[in-house]
Amino acid sequence: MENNTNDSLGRVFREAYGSEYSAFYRDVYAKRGFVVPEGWRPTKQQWFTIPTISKDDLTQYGYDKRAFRSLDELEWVYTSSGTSKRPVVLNLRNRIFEYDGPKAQARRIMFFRTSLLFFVYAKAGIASVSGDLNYPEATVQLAEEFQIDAIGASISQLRVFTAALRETFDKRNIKLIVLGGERCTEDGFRFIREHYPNALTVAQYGTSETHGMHAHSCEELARLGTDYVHFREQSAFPELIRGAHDDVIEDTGEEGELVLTVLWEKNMFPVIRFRTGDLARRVAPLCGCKEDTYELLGRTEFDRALIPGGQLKSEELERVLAPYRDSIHEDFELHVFLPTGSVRLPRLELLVRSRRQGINLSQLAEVVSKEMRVGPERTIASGVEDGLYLPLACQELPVGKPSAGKRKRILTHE
Amino acid sequence: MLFVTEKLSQDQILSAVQKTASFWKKEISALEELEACPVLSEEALFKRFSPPPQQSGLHHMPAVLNSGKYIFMPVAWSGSWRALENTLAERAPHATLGILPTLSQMDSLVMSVFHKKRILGTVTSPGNPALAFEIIKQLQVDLIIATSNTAVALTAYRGPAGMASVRAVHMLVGPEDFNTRTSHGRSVFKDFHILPGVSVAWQCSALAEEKGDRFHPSPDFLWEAVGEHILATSIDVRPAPLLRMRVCQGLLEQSSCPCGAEFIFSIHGK
Repeated sequence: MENNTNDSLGRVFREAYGSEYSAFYRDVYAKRGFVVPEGWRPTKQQWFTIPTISKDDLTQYGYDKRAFRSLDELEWVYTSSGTSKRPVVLNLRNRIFEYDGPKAQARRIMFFRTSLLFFVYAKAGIASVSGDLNYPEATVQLAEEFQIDAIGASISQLRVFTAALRETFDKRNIKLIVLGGERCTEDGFRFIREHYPNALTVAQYGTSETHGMHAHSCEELARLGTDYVHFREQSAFPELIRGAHDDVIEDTGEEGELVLTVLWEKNMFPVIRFRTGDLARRVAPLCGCKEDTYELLGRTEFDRALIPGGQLKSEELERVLAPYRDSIHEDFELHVFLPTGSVRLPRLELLVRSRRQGINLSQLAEVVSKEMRVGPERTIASGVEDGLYLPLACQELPVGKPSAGKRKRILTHE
Repeated sequence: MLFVTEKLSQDQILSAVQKTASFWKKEISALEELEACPVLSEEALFKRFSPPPQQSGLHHMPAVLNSGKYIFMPVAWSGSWRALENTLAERAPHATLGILPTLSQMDSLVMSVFHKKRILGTVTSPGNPALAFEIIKQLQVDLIIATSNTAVALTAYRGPAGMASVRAVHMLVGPEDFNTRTSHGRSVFKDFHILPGVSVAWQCSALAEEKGDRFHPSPDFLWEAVGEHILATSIDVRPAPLLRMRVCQGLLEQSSCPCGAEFIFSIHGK
């Protein structure tokens, strides 16, 4: 923790805890028995003792109960995406960041969300339009007429958009792709290189609960074509925590849940130690920047599932499925049905989308069972042999409308 | 017959119309000559403005679905929306929700108006009605902004009770659906868009109360009544200025209204 960051953290904390408008943090901390001495200025070690907050904490308080300033100062209201199916959070904002990542001289961007992105890009001098992948034909027509040279999308959205493009659209004109919303794996970056050979691909990270964009690739990282980012100085303070007990990870290489504190002062709602539900790890420096480098690893809810004997990871399943790309599409869903009633073992069901008729899904299930690692020395097949799970089944993924939300690749059903 | 709805001098109007006409490679030296200009067709308009203007300044490309085909219209980004601002001023809502198709590109404009007018509100798309209802509940929204199709669909989705807190609708109507009826006891302020994103007329409280199809013409245009047709000409140069574009069949008349607007037109047909 640098000194200037430490000062900002202290100021944000003091303002939040002592706010005359909202008792949010005082209430949350009191419920968890966390007592804050008067005039407390947390040191680095003390900072790590501050309880984290989650989306569930936010949804328990109406927007007006969370407002840390008079609502007369409110500039913007927006909502979380609703992907988690939990009640949406109305987010209050009195400031908009601009996009300050690599621009690759792009002038016109298309993105796929209704939000404040128009203003974010406008401040950066990039004109924008919103596409809607529920209407791919119209979206592609708009992209052509607006003569876009940049795209802001999740990798899933980009695949749907690309599939809808007409031959008249010259993909070589795309100079910039800003990726966000979900993890883009090696397979996704390969897809981008194949279809958009002249695009600089910038990984970008933000959450609606923490007021927007906080991290993106620098130009060097973008040229590597990876999901590596730096957090913007003075935007948010990132931490990684292990498991449910808020253990802080300080070492490079270990995966953890991202916890963010927004460093803006005079915030409408100061976000302190917010568990984002997103996974990341610090990696060794790959560029000349002085900031730490983080690799984004997906969502705790949609890319991971704990099962007896280990953990299911979406990137591991992606690795196992990679040799079968000629037979099946990139999108998949792994459903985990936890034991219930008379069924005493977890049941796993893999849904894939075939590229052609006659794919032997039973055979695919067998291969995945044997090759997919659940732990260092365990596969799904060995778990079945040891009586930990029921055999993996494989089915066709129903074709639905493309989702504007985050891709759910591993879903746990209780 | 020529109607002028903005309090501009004849010279100022002539100067503005000359710019619009020169954009269309027409020459006008006196306002009377405007009547000699041919009526602009939609086809000519879209042909002229495809591809969109190259300047880096912000502009919109709102879309409408017209006869099974999407039409995009370049619109200058002004950050203001006169019709909506009028409704917000008259209703002074507690909270407002825009439920607008993503492709309409109106969400940023609505957010800009909220920001400028200090309105508690946000925007979502009609594709996720559950999210819209959750926002209505949490914010206790009393005014929604929606197209006529969306307003009808939302009412069908949960019935009028699903929007119990909603007291008024700022409804975007086009030439195809200006006579929509979906009030369910709410005030409906119609905002008449002749082309995607081009708001040409609206209803104040008094006209909304009538529940009919009488509108105040926007002072951003020069209005003419030619026979049964009402025509509009842009009096500022925008990415796609209108030069004697036919708005509808109807009656344009000078009239006093409690809101202070001096003109009203009644729509009789497309």
